[in-house]
Amino acid sequence: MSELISNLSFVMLGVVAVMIAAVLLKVLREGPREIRRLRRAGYGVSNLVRPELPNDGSGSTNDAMEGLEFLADNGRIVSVRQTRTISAEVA
Amino acid sequence: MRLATFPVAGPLPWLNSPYSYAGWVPTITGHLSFSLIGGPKIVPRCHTFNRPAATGPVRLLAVHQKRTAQDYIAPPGALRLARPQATQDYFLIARTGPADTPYVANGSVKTARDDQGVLSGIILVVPRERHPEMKVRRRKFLADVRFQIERQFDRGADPQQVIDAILHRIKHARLAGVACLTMEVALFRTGELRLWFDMKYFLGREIHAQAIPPSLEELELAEALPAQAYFFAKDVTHLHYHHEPDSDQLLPLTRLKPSATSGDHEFNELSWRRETLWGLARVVSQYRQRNTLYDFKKVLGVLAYADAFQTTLAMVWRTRSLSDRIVAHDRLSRYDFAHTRISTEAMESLASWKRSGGLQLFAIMAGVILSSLALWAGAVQIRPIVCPEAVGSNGKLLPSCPAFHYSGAVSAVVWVTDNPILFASIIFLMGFATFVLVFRDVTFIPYGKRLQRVLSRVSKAVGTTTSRLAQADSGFADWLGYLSALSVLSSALAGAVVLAVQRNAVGETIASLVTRILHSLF
Repeated sequence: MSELISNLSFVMLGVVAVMIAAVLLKVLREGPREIRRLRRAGYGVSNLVRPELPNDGSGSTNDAMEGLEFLADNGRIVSVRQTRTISAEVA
Repeated sequence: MRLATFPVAGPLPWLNSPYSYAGWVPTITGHLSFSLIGGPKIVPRCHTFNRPAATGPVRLLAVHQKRTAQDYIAPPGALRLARPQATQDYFLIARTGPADTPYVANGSVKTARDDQGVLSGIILVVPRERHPEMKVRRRKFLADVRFQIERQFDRGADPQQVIDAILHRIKHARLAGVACLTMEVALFRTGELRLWFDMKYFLGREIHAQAIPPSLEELELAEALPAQAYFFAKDVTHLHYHHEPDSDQLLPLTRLKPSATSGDHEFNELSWRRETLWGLARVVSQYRQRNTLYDFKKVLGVLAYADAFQTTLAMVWRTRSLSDRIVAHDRLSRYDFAHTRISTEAMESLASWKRSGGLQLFAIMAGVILSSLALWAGAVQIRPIVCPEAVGSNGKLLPSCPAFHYSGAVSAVVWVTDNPILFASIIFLMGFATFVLVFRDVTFIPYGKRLQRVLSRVSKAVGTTTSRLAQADSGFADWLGYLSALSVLSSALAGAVVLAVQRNAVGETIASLVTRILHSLF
């Protein structure tokens, strides 16, 4: 059983490693220009926790996605917050 | 509360609404199929009641989807628990009705009366609740509505009664104080989508005798929620063939101004069409600039939709009265999508040729390497035959060829025969790596795309933050950020490789964990 799990975990971790390598190659190909573009767009680590990428007002784009957070308290709307971050097309 | 049939005469219902929006739900044929809305092929995780009425050419529809903000790194399931405000329940409750439908024939736009030319009704959004008692009421309301929607496969259920029962529950929920944000919606066959409401209706306060003024948050929500309702309508109506499902900003939902005069009306009708066309053209340019084969294929898909919109819906508008026929106009400047397509096809062919060249090179290299290994193994076997070791007169071995040590080949063969599964796994991983690195496609692996997206977002976030911390808008700061992003990914890669190599330790740990869990369970 242990050997089977060992081989299975080898394959799974190998698959994960290949996928990481694919992302690494993608980022490598994009170059520092992509980092500059995202920095100017306001993206960063804080965006992972609070996805509040500023809206550049360009309208239609495939670079960003938007969400909306809000709650009701006894039937009344509270804490409305627009969320925005980079889309899967960019990430 | 009843679903009114969409009017066939009189002023457009959204004409003087303070909140009025228009957008396009993409349809390549020019005719949306209402019977497919909310189908399992379009939206796997939604509940749908979509049946023709017992009498007359009418279809009745109720779709429910729980939607969670995709903007976070955390998966939706975890986010629902951690951030309840990121999840809302969306409903589309509607019925079809007659409307004029424009189409192109012999180069000119004509219209035909379609008995089911428009799907009209409401989009309802139910947010999570903080108040404990309201939480219970909300949960019960959602369960009741879900029960009615699940009657899709109950052949004895009268569709009209099901929809009436849902509307009845909505009315009671609103009376009981459950927040139900409501927008009126009309979706035409051509994909033309209209959303409209006033604040009282939106907040469900038209049923209360006492006027309750909207709060600042509610006013803010009235501005932001229509876009989310539009994304919901698009998600349940069409499949995202040519872009990532969460790229919801491709097409805009345009806010219209109250239409007091025919000039306002003309401005509104032109503005949302212009925005939609411009949006499609912009997205086409963005994909082209990425300069990859995959993105060129996306361009061709989006171009087909852009052309479909430009040739029909962009060329007509409804006058202020539904009694009038749809009229053709030439007030919008047109985009040359035909030449864009030709150019993209040329770029796609070039990229395809480059890729096939790379693949051929890879195939040749793989063939050469494998053949070399096979030849080497064969040579090792043949050598004792062509170079026999003779026995001399003194009884000692006399090599007829120079001394030869083939321990490497023997070791390799021994290792392969001792570790057949591991050998097969390595060959599998090599093939997998080739496919992923050449085609850059991991959609066939469960959660593969999500894992890559998370890795990419995290590494780029670290990179941009490092670049920002360098406090210089210079090439050096960007290089620093770039190297940080690469080092994050390299560390992750090294970690995965180390764990894969230490497979025995990992296997033993997992096996002991599984054994412990099984022991504690049984």
